[in-house]
Amino acid sequence: MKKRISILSFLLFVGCGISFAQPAYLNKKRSKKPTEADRFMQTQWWLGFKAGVNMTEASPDQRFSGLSPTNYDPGILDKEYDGFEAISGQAGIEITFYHKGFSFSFQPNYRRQQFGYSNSYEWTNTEDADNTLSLNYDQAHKLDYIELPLLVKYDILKQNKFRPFVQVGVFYATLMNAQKEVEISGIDQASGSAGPFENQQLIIGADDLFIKSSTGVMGGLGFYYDFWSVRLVFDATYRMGLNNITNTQNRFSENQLSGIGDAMDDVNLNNISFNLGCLFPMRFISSKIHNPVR
Amino acid sequence: MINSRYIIILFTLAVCLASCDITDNEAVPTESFFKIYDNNAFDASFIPIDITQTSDGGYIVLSSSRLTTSNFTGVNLVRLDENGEFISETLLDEQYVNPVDQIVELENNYYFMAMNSISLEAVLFNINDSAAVQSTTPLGITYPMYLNADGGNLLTLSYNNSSKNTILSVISPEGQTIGTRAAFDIGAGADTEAPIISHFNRTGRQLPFFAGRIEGGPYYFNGFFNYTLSLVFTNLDETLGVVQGQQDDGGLSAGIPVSSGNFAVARFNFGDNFIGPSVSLSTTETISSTDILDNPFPELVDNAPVILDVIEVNGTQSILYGSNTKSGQIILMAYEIAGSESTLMGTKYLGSTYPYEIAGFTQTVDGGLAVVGNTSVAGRFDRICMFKLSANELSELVN
Repeated sequence: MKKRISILSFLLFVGCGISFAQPAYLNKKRSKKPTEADRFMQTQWWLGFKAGVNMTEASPDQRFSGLSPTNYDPGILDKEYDGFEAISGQAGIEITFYHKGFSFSFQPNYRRQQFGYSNSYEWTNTEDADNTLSLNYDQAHKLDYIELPLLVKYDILKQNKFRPFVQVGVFYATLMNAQKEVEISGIDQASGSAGPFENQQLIIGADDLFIKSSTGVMGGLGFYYDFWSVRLVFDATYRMGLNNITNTQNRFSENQLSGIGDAMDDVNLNNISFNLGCLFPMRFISSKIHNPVR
Repeated sequence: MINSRYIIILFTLAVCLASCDITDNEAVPTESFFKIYDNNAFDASFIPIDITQTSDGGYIVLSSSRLTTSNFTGVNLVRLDENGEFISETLLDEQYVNPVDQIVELENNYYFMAMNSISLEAVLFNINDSAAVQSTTPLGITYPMYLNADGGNLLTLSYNNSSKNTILSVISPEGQTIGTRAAFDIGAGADTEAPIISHFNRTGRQLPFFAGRIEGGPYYFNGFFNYTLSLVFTNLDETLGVVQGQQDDGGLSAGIPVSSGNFAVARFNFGDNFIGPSVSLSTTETISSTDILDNPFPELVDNAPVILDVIEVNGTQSILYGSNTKSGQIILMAYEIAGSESTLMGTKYLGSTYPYEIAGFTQTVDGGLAVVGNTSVAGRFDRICMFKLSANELSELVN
């Protein structure tokens, strides 16, 4: 599967490269026809890079646990998921084709997404309330993806330097690396301690706990700001995952933390990201003064 | 515009080819799972004994727990559904204590043996799919140690502390003794008996008592005989052959006949462990367990308990050993059955973070394996756990 993705990625970029290699003077030739000139003025290719930050929230569907309680409510074992809290980053390139206010944008990027949850357990002695142990397991997951989003943008204002836009699209991402961290803390009154304690943090590779693919839809808004011959772009985008990223077949068998009762729920990832980028026009009105088509 | 088309086509192709794992990401919950059966009582502690799968796909775990009213441990029956989720737990009346390995299935009835805490008499229990006790039958023998199937009957191993004999007897499913009870003198002196009593009180090491019958041949048992823990071959009238141990410091920890004259065995000797997946044992001679040609396994805990059985994987019979490693994991080792040259086909480790110990395993109807054991939740609380391996996972073990 990895090899297949590599080949396709290569083809994708070669395809893009061929597209951008087409010099503007060829269009100039075509622009001899009046209608072609009009069309030329309404069309542009943009190429640039962008980077930013993102926050992720895991949305559980079906819940699982490695523990099966014999004398208390199983609902106590439900994980408490963090919201959009941990901040991660992403960076990539943007290739955008603009035509009459609409843009079709391909924005491959490498991104890290983090989500977390916690479990709490308590064991008590019914005859001696001092014999109590409370434990809290905080679990953080760091997932590194190569993401291939495809977006359609619409420029709300078309003739200004400041051009707000809205965008919607779809994405496909493939997992490159995954890591899981667990921090165990608690209060052990039975040992005579009333204060909290913290155990050593456990960090494990978690590639096998997740499937490679993540897909979803995305939407957001942003703005361009044009100056000199470049364009600054800022956008805020919400991604809604449409598939369960947990590897259901490895939920118990490949989880090195199953020993503490951990089992991944079926989860979709939702994500908010903010990007700042710089785009360069690929087509110019004149090769001498390099006035880009806008 | 043609360039945009290329991007869309390539994107679509990439997504279609690479996202097969999304459609394949479905697991049958009954095939593979891991569960710890947690009780939130600080002072609760459970000792798993054996597991069996019931006809509805669920499981019954025979287990034991400390009693405040007795030196012995009580009898717990835990019922699980086909996904391994806890359904119910039955703590039998405190007059019944010390359940012994194993749960035996005969014609959709499940049998296990425990002891009367006052009379020390062995009691046979018949339970149904719901782990409900159907009948209890006193057996007229004391200190039960092991229960096995013998065709349509049951084979019991027990100890008579009045006559200082190890007793091997065949009983019907209704609890009637068939033929004579074979008695084997353990030897005079309190020192000889001490390890047996410690075993029953759980104040000492749990000794590897077991018994069975070679198909069409003599019976065998691993118990005390002539001052040592020995593997004894008998026709129930007389002793035929013996594999002698070293009092309770050496001997067999598990053994089953695998082919004509050959046994799969595990033995211990002053803490060290050895595995012989195919050793030739004469049923009519007396030898020492240290004469057995086998392989040392320093990976296992001192005097490791070993669970041993023949299971079917991919249509082929394999010898499966289960034991405990020094690193606190359960280890499964699969050997092929191939005359005197059985080779190790694969190993699998179960459990992590906290210590795990094996109690038993059983092959499931879907071709997988259910392993029951003990773990210390939070490093403190002894709880029963269960690993269910799918047929695929089992297949990976032997390939």
